[in-house]
Formats: sequence, C-alpha cells, structure tokens
Amino acid sequence: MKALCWEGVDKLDVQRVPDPQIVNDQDAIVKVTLSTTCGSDLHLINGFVPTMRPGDVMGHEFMGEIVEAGPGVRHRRVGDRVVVCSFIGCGRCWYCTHDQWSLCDNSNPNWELAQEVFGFELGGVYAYSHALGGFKGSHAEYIRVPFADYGTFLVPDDVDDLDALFASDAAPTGWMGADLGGVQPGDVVAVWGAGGVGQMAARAAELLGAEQVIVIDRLPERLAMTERHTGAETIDFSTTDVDAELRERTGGRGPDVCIEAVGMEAVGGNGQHAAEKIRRRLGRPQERPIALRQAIHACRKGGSVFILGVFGGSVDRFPLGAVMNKGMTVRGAQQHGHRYIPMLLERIAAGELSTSHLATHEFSLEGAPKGYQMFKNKQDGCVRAVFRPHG
Amino acid sequence: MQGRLMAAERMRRGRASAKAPAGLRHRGRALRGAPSTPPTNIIEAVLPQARDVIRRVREEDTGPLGRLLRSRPATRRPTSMRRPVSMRRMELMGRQVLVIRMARRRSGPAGMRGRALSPMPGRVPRGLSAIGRSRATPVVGAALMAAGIAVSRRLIARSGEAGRRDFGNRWSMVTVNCPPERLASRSDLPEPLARLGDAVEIRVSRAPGDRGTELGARLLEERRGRGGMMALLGGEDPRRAVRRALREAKALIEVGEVIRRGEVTPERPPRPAEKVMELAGRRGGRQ
Repeated sequence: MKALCWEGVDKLDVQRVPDPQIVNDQDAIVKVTLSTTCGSDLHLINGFVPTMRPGDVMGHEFMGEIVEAGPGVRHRRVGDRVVVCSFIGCGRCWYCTHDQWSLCDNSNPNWELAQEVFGFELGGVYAYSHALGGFKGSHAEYIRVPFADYGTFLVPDDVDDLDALFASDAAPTGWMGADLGGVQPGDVVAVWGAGGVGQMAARAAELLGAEQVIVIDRLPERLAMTERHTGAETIDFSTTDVDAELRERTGGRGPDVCIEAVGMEAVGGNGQHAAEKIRRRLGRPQERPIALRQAIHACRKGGSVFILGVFGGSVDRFPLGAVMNKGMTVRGAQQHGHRYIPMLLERIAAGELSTSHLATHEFSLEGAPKGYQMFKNKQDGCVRAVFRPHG
Repeated sequence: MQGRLMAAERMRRGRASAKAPAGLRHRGRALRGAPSTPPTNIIEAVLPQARDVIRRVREEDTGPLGRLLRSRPATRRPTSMRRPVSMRRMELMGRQVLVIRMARRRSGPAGMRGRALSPMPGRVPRGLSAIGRSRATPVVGAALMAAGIAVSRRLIARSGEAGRRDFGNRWSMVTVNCPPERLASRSDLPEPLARLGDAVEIRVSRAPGDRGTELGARLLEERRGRGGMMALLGGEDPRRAVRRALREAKALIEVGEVIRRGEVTPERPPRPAEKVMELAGRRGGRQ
C-alpha cells in the first residue's frame, strides 16, 4: 500500500510499504478514509523528537472503515464507520479504568525506552516515535488499530466524515485542556495558539461555562477563523503586549485558566525567539516554551495553567518562581481521548461543536508532502491539511 | 491510611532483608576513586569511571565492541601527545548525559599552545549527534556516553538519597489491576513468570487504595549471573528478563494479550546515537 513516510529531518516521501496485519487478537485493520496533519507532527518533521526512524509512517489523527477484525474484537464489525483515538488504550489497566487513557500501562511495546526517557512509560500512540510504541501511522491506505474495541468509536449517521475526523485528536485534546484545566462557569480563559487544538479548547471553555475566552496567536486568518467559529475574542501577539492586553481585558486580575496549545516550537515577540535561537546555536536545549512562560506570567494569582502543547524533554528558564509564589496549578497531559470522544460526537451531531472548518486544504496521499509543506509554513491560510488516501 | 502504613512496612522489610549482593562489589570496583560527595567538576568525576568501563570492555567483553577496542593500541599516549578533551554535562530528554568532544587536531605544536581547547567546527551539534560530529571514535564516544549516563544517574541518586545504594538485587515490581486473590498461588502466575521457575522468588500483596495487586519478582542470588555494565552492553542482563516477564504477566492478566509492535521499519544498521538510546532503553524498567 502507499503511505507517507518520515525519511529524516524535513524529509517526507510517499512510498510503498507492506500492508498492515492483524498482530494481536484484539487488533482491527481500518481502511483510512480521512487523515489529517497535526501541529505535533511538526516536532517530528523538524527533528525535535528522537527515536524516529526512516520509513516510519506518519499521521495519528484519522477516521475510516473497519475492514478486518481480529478474533478478540467483540464490539466492532467489518464495515463499521469509526473515528480512532490517536492514543492507544487497553481499557483495563488502572489508568484506563480511571480515564487517564494516554497513560495506559499495556499499549506501548517499547516501554523500556519510554521509561528511560520519562521515568515511566506513556501509552502507545500512532506514528509518534519508537519511544511511544513505534506504531505505523494513518497517512496510509490502511492502518492496524490495537485494542479496537476501546480505541474505535462508531460515528453517528448524522455526523459527516470531516466533522468526525477531528474527534480523533484535536477536539478531545482541546476539551481536555478546558476540562482538566478546571474551567468553571464565569471564568476568564486565555488560550495560546489558534490552531485546531487551540480553537477546540476555546470552544470547550465556552461550552463549560466560561464567561470570557481570549485566544492569542499572530496569524490573522487563524484569529479570524477563531472569532467566526468559536465566538472567542482574540489577541495578535505580534502587534501588542499580551500581558498588558490581558490585564486590561480582565480588570487587572489576569485569566483564571490559561491553556497552552502551542508546544516546543513557539514563536515569540520581544526578542524571545531570537534569544532562543542563540541558545540553540550554543547547544542548549532547543525547546522553546515561550508561550508557556507567557501563560504562567499572565495567569492570575492562584490560577491554573494547562499544557496541551507537546514538549519532549527539559526546558530552561521555566518560571518556577511565578508558579510557586503565585500559588498556581500547572498541569499537562497527552489527550485522554477515549474519555471525551463519545460525548464530543454527540455534541457535533447536536450542532454544538463545529470542527470541519479546520480542514482548510485537502490532498490525495500523493500530495501529502506538499500538504505538510503548506501546513508547516502556514501558506495560503492552511490550518489543517487533510488527506484522502483512497481519493 | 492503614493500608499505606502496611505497604511502607512491607517495603522496609523487603529492603532490610535484601542481602548485600555480589554484584555490588562488581559495581563498587567500577566506582573506585569516585568521591563520596557529588563533585562539582564533571571531568574529574566521570573520567576515571569512563576509563575503567572502557578498560573492562577491552579486557572482558567478547562481543564486537570488545574486539574493536582490543584492535586499538592499549597503551596510553604520552600526555604531551594526547588531544585535549572537553566534557560537559547537558540534559537530553530529561536525562543528564555527558557530551565529550576531542579538540581539533592541530598541524603543529604552535597550534596546541595557542588554545587548550579548539572551538567545535561548524554548527553546534544537536543532542546525541554531538558524539558523531566530534573527532572522538564513535565507539569510544558511545561507551563514554553510556558511562556518563550511568555515572550521572548515580551521582544524582547519591545527592538525593544516600540510602539508594542497594540497587544490586532489588525487587522488580508491577501493580496489576486485579484483586490479590487472582494471584493467590504460584500456579496462578501467567506463563512468562511461571517460565522463570525457581530462578526467581515472587511476592504478592494488596496495593493501597483501589490500585490492585503488587506483584514482585527477583532473581535468587545464585542465579543472578553477570550483571552491571558488561551485561548491559551485551544485552544479557538477567534482571531484564525478569522485568519483561513481569510486564508480560501483568498484560496477560489485565487484557489477555501482550501488545506487539507488528510490522517494523526495514532493518538498517543503527547509528551510534540510536545504539546509545537502545542501551539506555535496556537500563529502563524500574519496577
């Protein structure tokens, strides 16, 4: 079959790879209908995440149709139209049974390596390095889905493919940021990043009762899209002082909850980006927690910061003093999608949550390298490039 | 609360009953010369251990690494001929690692006198690729880095808690999401653990709260075999087999199968940095 493969830093190529097979009894094979780019893929493409190998198939956010099910699959059948959570959860370990699915004990076959990296292993995830399982990704015609009874979700008939697609990752990740960030009715919430996850976090905050939601980015088309589809206010950080702007808009208090949806390749103003570049040249860790630092600084006393953006290792100049002295709560997680996806599909069906507008560009699988180029460089207002492997 | 106290007492007894394992002497030799408090100069702290590891690999390892090292001159060059070394500690993915760079070879003695350490050529390398871009032999670099990881970990552990030195024959532990009755007798153990037979001792206890059952295993003293750095390099550490058996047992009890990777990326020779990552992975598994 054809698949989009990682071939090295900034090198993607469509290649022929072996068809996926049922390896474990509880596996299913899904024919990929739609698969989309994600901002966290850029960390792989730019070489920020170790343990990638040439030939690894990219893509973790997808939906499709089950075409084969292993003998241990009880609740799914061939022909089911499903959206698949990007993280793999066994459904029966302590973490899964406590709705912390991305921390699953049994879904990462490379647990030894992951333990060395993080202290404890994470669950497996599609196409996100060998430290997180080494699973093949979804930018392919077919994909193997382990623990299919738990990781696949039936798409209601009145939800179309494009809406369902983002229930795989962007929507549950954003929802988790607002939910576990502790958004309460009446809160003021600030979200850094107006990409797919940031927009979903903003909409989730509104649906959870936040009175004011402010999204921060620098790309005018994303800010306009955010205002149009989520109803949130926006701040262009390239033209103003975000800290001062937030104080002005929040009566001098600062936001109650800050959600960071940017990650380790943030771009900052006020010379911060240049400083990070110098540190990179000097061989210091390259992760750029610019948005995270800003969120911690801007957050109100006793407020909460939730980290949705992906970080891989250690960052320097983390404002621990502000966290401690301001009495803040800082939390983060990879998405516990299984916890939210059924509810999100219901909200999408009910018209409460719109997701399909994120798909700004569509490509066949052969056009995927170009799609990533546009996505990476934010060309032509690209928010998400969506691939149709079967045309 | 009562459950937690019992668990703490259990752990205390478990550690107290651990005999001083033979492997400690083995490791202690590797650490000979290390100061009792964490030194501030990383070169002074690590270089003796790194040299010792390389010497032991050269003398004892029968694998390709040992053969390669033995093919090189064993005698040390006079001090005046040695290229200066720069070593510094940096963080990679949350771990302390040691980056070792050999200075650029100069054309004549004047160059050497000019600067003790030459600047690194070109762009400052990223992470592990620093080894590949230095002038050090990649294999030696990999060995030194492995030693650096091990020693750094140990220094960090020492600075944090003096009582953590009994790392030789710890219990490997997992917590299984099932009631303790599920593992009431040895015959209830899944095949991966049962296969180890009398080579291991097993312990089972209720985990605090609703966390299930703590399942532990460790090799009996006489079955431990070679451990430490040699086994790490050779991939033969028997404790690793115990850790894997525990993990597989846990998966079989909880979900009925052990997840496999399936189709893998086509094989190619691992790069030096990937080899080091693999070695680091072998050290994983701390249950």
